[in-house]
Amino acid sequence: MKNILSIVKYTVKENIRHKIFYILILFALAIIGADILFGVLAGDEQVRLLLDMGMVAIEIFGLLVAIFVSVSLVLEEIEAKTIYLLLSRPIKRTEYILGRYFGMILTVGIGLLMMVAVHLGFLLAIGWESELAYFYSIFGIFLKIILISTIALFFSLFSTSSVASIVFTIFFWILGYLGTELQFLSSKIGNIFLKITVKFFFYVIPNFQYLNFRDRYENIDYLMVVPITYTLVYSIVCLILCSILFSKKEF
Amino acid sequence: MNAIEIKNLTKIYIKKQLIRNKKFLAVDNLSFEVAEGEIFGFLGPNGSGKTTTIKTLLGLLFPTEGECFIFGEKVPSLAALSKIGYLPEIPYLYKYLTAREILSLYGTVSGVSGNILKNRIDEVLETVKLKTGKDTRLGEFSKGMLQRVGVAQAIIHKPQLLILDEPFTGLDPLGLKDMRDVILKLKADGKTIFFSSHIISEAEKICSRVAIIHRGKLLRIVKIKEIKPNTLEDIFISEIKQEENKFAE
Repeated sequence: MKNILSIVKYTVKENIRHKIFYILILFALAIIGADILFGVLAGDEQVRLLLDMGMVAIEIFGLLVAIFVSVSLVLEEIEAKTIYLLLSRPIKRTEYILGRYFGMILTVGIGLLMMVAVHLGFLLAIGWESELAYFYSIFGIFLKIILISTIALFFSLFSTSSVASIVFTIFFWILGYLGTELQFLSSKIGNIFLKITVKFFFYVIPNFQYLNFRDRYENIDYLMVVPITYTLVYSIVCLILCSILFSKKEF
Repeated sequence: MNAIEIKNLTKIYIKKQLIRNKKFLAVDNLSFEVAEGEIFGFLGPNGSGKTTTIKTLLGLLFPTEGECFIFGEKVPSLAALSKIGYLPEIPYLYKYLTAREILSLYGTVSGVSGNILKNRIDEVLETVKLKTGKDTRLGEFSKGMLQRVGVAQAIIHKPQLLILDEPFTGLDPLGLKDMRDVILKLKADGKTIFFSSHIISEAEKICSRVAIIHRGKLLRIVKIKEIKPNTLEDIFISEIKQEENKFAE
């Protein structure tokens, strides 16, 4: 546990001193730009637009940061060879993977909180009345970030190329929103091979619809049992696979 | 007990290609021992398999055949790793952390913590003569300073065995002397030092024995006491040449 915590600590420090702040500055600028643009619109319309656009921006920025940080999490350490000095210490490879993973989740979580603070600041400034559903939607975005990060980490351990890992993860990210369509498609396809392939993707890709509270703002299950359980089970399975892959890796 | 025991170690790298995998024999049936408390030089030209052997000892690579032991523990093992301090050829350190932060990280994961670690960090920084920049990010350090931090991280947990990969490469004369002094002090403290190098003169000055390796094969083990002073380089060259001739035939 101590080892994992030490690795979490340096991962957060490394990421915060590294790149994440540049992305956040970009986000803050995008929000300010959007606010000026929507300033021309009057009253309620401005609030609604800033609320929706802001949440979309938070999700996209959050997921992009998560994908890039997760993919480079281990690959960058292998390329820079900094991994030699850690793995030649008495730590288990699983502890290393978990430490890096949780450090990354914590960093992206901190980034998400900062983006939400900027967003809330603007919303409150233009007279938005806060609602609980907003915070649940943000939590849903955080769960999506956890899922996509685990997938990105898994792909990065498969290949030695960051680009290939990013492409695969983005492919999964897009498919993650098309769960219902995939299920519909599999019921319509006659060819058994294609049917099995589509079904396979349906079960393997993460289903973001479970976590998408943004689009069904009035219809949120406030207990969050299904979304949390789904995220936990999916991430744990992915992390076990990551750990197996990593334990066989040579440096 | 031997600090290091390598038995019939063979390592073949396999480069996966579309049609046929490419194989490269990096270490070929290597066997030798390093006794506890000695300074042992592992000499060979570039690409002779020195780093591969070291990485196998550290569990970063897995042997194709054969086995390695550290103080009787078969590697890879966490118990073996806890007894090793490792200095890579180039100190691969996190440039976003400061010297203190990086030593704190490596100290903690090696089982040193709390106040003991704090005191130990000051102690090792003193040993490697890093007087300034303890709280500066490593990205701003010169090569020489990085090498000092590299040595500090290798000894932070007081390991019984030091494995140093090319510790003399790229050092200026003062740096060379400091590195030699650190190694000799560690030996005086009862540590075992195993280092790879192609700088023969340094090896002759401080080692009790050296192994000469080429193309992954052990050519000869030389006891420094048993040879005339300043002849190790000639022995090294003649061994390598003989092997080259055999290979050409």
